[in-house]
Amino acid sequence: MQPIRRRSVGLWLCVGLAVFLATDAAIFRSGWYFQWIEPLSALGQVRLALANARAAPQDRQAVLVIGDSRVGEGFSAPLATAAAERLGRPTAFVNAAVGGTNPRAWFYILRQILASDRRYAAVVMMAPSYHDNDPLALADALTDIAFVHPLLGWADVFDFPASFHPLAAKIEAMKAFVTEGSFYKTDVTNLLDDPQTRMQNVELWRDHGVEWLGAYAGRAPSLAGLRADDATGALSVPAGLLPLQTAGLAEYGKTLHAFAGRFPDNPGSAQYRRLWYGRIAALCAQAGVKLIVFRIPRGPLHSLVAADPQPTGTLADLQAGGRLALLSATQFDDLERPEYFFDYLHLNSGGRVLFSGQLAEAVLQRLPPAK
Amino acid sequence: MLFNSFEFWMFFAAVMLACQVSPPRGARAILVVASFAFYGMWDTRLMLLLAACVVFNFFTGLAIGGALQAGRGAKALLAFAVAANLGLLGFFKYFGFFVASLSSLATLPAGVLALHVVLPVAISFYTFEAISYNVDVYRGNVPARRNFVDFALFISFFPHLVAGPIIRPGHFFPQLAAHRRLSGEDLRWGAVQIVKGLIKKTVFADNFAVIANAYFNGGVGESGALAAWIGTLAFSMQIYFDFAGYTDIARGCARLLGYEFPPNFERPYLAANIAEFWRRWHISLSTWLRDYLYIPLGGNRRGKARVYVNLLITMGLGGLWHGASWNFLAWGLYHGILLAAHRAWREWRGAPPPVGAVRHALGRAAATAVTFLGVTLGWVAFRAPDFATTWKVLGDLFAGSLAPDLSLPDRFLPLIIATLLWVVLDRDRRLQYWLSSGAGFAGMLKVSSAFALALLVLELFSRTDISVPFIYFQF
Repeated sequence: MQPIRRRSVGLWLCVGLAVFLATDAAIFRSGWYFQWIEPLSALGQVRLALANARAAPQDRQAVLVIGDSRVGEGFSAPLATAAAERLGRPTAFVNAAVGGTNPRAWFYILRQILASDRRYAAVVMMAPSYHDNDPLALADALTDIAFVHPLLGWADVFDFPASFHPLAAKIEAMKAFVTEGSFYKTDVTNLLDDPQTRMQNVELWRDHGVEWLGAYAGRAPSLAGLRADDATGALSVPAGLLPLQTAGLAEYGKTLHAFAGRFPDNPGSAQYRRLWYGRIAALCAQAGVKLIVFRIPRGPLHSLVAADPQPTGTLADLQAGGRLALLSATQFDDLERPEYFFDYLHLNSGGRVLFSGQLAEAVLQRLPPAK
Repeated sequence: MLFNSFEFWMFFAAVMLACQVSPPRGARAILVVASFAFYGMWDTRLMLLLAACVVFNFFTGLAIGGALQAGRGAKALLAFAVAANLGLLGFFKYFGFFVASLSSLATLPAGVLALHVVLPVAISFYTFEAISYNVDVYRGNVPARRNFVDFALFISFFPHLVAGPIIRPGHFFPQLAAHRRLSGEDLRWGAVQIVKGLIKKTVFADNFAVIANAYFNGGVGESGALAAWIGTLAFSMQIYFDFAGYTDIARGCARLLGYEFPPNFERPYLAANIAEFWRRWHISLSTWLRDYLYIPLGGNRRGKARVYVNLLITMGLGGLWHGASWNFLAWGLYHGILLAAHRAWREWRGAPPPVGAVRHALGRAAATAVTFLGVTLGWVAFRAPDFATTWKVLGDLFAGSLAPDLSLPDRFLPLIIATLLWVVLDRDRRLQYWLSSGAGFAGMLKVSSAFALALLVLELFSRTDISVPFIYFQF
């Protein structure tokens, strides 16, 4: 029998590895599988946001609004568009918010949207605060990989992993380029569980997703009756809340009391913001799109703490450099009341109506009339 | 450092490379150092225990060998060596259990007698290997090893250290003399074994583990018969794929380092009776128990009644070997009873009369199903945390309500279908042989295609999102 040579085994294992990588790239990196993603998954939201951005009407100027779930829940593009109509400034507002995302993910989503033929008059981006004081280490947020891996190109192969700090996170980010299929693992197994239903759902969302997104009216429940103890920060919550909502509110009450509504600045936040807000500003400048930033209503009891009108840090610097425009920090302070929120973070349907109209008006004041 | 972790494969690649560029003696020393480092990654203090075990048994082996030549004292030395090894195992593994049981009997407050002894990983495996070495030297099956590095490698060799297979001196030491150089066949066979093992562990076992854990870690009290059957069946599949997967990886790694381990599983769930099952399941343990416990107890030589007692003792202690709990003892005794019942049945019925091929196949299929059912029911005691849960699950299996849970867990059916497909594909290890044979372009093409497919399967279906330790690591 012909002996098997060591070198040939090594060579053919390498060939097998190459075939695997090529197959993974053909199925996943090419974007072929992305069209069959579960519409209600995290990536499905990204896909819907991109589809929504593509579907913006061409007959008037368009404004793209981006942010996380706070924008998804609190901002209605049809209401803002109607408000613009009433103001005699026909403008199509487009909501490209994706729940659970951060500025790093917004950069890649915006890059994808702004690379298309559709021209936007402005990108309106949320900021949770006008200071470099994000309490979480956003640079280490591994969830960002799950949101953006289909949007990455080979040019990002070093840059994207380098934006994470721990080595394990960098390796995980690198996997998005080498074995992208591993990020579709849950989706693939769910698809195989019931392929027919998945296909039907995908078709339905493809045909009606933008329409359904526009028709979303927000959540009706409110926190009216929520009170805080001035001495301890302990909250008296209205009856009928879910345990998760109550726990979230308790934590919110504690931090509100401890920091008087404003977390302390930290260098990690400053570094992160300089990188990603800076990149977003550069991206918009390159695309010739005005970048407007607003502070999202921060919580249901922030009206109880002292006003915080003066931006500092990265956003203030970028504004001073003319790279973006900040809406007034106090623009939406009146909405920071329990009756406009359904949990400690998100506006309810009542808040959504007010916020959408006010944001549209504030943005249009910053934009020159369309020609 | 688990076999299914990235760190292990970095470690393994470094060790393999170092062994390849070193002369045979140096490679063995590297393997000993690497094995201690591997073990120390769980807890550096445990390296001392392993080292003490190696040193002690190296010298007891020499002493027994010397005493045999001198013609006196060998038996006493053997008794001392075996007692010391069992004492070590007993102290670390069973002391807490017996103290807790004693406290419970004497109605003492919990913790009064407790020493909070840490259970060292793999102690059950390496003490059994040490005992078999001393006994084999005494029996004259192997000479006492005079090279300390070789002996240290036998005990500590990392592919088998933490969860077996339990290596025998007569199988391992001759390989040291052979100075085998890694061949293309070794490379291909080892790679196929490792990939197969990883698929068994991360695709099959871990996916079944999600279902089994959901039931045994919380669902027992709230569900009925269907959930009990699904949970029990899922654990039955999990433990096979988990342990067989571990063994495949261990055998593959050993082969890539130039050593061969004996098979530990021979498709045990296809056994047609319980005795055959134990010839196919955890073979290295069952043969160890046979050679070092059952036969010394008298085996089949001391009358019918004694055979049954020996079976019960052997399997009861075999159960207890897995862990210090009454559940493991009950599981072992249950298998002892099944083996005794099977033996009694066989003696009563005599040899079955010859039948036609179809009837034979149908009979074998029915016997296989009954055996699988019997084994699977036994896993309830093995998996459940205590007697109360065991009884509850057994009660639900046979008398539980069907009403509350008529839906199947996610992925259960696809997993069962994939399992059946796997059984058909790899029946009689034909996948292994097919992929390990054939040189030239065609032979290599099938290897690279299968390798690419396996990587894709691992990428998409392995449960790297959850951490499910190998079950036998705890023993």
